Amino acid sequence: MNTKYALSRVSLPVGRQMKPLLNRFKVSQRITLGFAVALGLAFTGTSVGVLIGNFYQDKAIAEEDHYREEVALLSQLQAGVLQARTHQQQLIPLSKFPEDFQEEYSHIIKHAETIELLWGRLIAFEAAARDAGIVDELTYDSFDIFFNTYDGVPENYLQELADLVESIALTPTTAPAEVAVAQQRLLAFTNSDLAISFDGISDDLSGTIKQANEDLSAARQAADAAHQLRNQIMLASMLLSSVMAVLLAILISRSISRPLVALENTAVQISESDSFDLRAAVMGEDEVGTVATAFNLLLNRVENLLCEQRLREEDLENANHQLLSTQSQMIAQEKLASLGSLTAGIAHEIKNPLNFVNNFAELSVELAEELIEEIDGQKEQLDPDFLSEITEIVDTLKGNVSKIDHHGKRADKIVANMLQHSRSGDSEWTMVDINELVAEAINLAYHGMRAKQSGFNLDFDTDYDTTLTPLRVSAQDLSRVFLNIASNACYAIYQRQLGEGPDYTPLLKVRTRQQDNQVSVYIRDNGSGMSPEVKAKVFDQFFTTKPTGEGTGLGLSLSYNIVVEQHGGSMTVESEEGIYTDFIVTLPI
Amino acid sequence: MTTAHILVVDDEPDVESMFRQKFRKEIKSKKIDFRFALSAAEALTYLDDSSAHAEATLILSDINMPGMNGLELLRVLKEKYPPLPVFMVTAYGDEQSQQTAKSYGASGFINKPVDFSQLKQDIFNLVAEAL
Repeated sequence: MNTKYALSRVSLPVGRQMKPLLNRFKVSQRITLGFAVALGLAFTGTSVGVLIGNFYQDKAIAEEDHYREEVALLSQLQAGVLQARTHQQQLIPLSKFPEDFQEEYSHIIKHAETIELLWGRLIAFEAAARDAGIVDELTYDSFDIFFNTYDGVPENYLQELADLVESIALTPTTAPAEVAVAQQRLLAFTNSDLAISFDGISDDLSGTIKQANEDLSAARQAADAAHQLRNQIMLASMLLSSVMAVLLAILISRSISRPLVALENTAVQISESDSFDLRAAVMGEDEVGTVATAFNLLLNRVENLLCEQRLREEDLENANHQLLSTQSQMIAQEKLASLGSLTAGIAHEIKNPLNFVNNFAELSVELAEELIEEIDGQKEQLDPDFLSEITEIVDTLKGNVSKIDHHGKRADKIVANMLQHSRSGDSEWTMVDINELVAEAINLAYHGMRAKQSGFNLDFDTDYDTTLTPLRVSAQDLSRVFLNIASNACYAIYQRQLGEGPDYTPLLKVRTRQQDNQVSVYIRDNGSGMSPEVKAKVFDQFFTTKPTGEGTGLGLSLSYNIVVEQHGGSMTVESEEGIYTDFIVTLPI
Repeated sequence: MTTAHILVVDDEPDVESMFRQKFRKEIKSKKIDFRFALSAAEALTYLDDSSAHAEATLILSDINMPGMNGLELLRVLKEKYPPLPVFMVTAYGDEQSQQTAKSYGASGFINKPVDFSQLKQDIFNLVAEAL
């Protein structure tokens, strides 16, 4: 794999304990967890704040209520005592006026009832407060001492006053002396120990009321403090839960976004570099991990598809290439075919006038010969000068006509070859033993050469593969091919023989072989060979190295056509100038 | 000594000159007498004359001619004068024309360029058969 792939495999930074822990949860679980923690903290904090605050506040309010009522009770009690005392002292001057006295006394009785009532209520109130735990034992004890100290004092005071009032029994007719005695007795009561003790209640109550008022304000402060404490706890828990929420949000979003960013980076990298062998790093088993895995699977698929596509493209390219080459081959064949039919048409059209040229040339040669004979028969009667002149002219004429005849026949040979060229393939296809066909053609070429050049000779080295499968071929056309090659071989050998003399041993080597569903024929001569330039043009139409008139330049091009186009085989040549030429004809079975 | 009467049908006018030179000796010695027609129509007109077709020994006709071609002429001739021998001459030595000519009843098929010595021999053979 390349380095890009390695880059995508970045390992997680070490030391982040929270991440692997979080990565174990799914994204939805992580979000739920975050909300639960934040909301839980907020709820718990607020609840605890409210509960604690309320507890202290309730306690403070209860104390406050207690002290307020206590102050009221104590104040009323003190007021009752003071009123009772004031009215009792008013009794002395009112002794002279029995009616007013009685009215004043009735006031005292009313106050006495109030004092009695309040006294009882206060005792019950403090006891209840102690039982409720609003006041501690110490505070209660101070009250207890107070109650014990003055226990029965108001009752006794009022009882004695009542006894006194009854004993003096003032009436409007009471004598002034009696009134004075009564006044003395009332005064004495006013200054009696009991009365002073009764006054002590009022004095002691003043201190107690002061203390109660202090306690009341302390309770108020405690209630305020409790209220503040509640608010503080709630605020703190809200702050804490907010901070936790923010922290969790950051942590969770990071745990989600980090692999997403990695995934995005991989995707961008892939789309920018087209390197589909890259893979996204899978961090964790959550939804993002699943997406990354799915993304990787998708990449696998894409890579496979790309690979398939590439293969298909290659196939298509190959097919296209083949198609193009087939097309160009077809075009070339079409060209050849149209050229062939054109050639055939031209050949036909030329053939007719050429026939006239040849026929009249032939006739003219005959006529010129007859004319020479005629002149020869009359030569005694003719003037020698005239005779020699006329003989010279007729000889020249005969020579000219012979040349016309010669070149006309040459042209006719070319036309005949061209026609054969265009007509190849018309002949019959039969099962043929290639060995026989080759041997026959070689023999024919050799004797053809000997007929032209009597001094010509060569050694044969033949090696025929006797296992050859008979082939279905156009025997006539194929025979022309081997005849052409063999004739050229004989010609090349003769050319070299002319140059080198008796030291040269001319050799024509013929071999046939069958392998890989092919039959190959090798015809090799150690004649004059070919230069690379000649070799390159050897199958071209009208290309010949023979002197003008001896070759048409159509033999090998026709042979090539027969072997390649007609029989689907191949025809190649190997040669070295001055050493050898080897023609190889291969035919499919 | 019988004279062979031969009608040559060919659109090429130079054919006459060529035949007359080629058969110069035979014409001189009256062994062969030539008539020339430049088209199938001209040939048929000539042969309409009763004496003409009666004395004709052989018709030599080219195949490729403008108007009625040689093979059509052959068919007409074989309908009108069945015993009259007809040789077809052509530069296009193709199988098909040869087959058609044979089926129409041609007595011979000659490829151009004409082998005149062979033709001479064929003519003498025909004359010998007629006797």
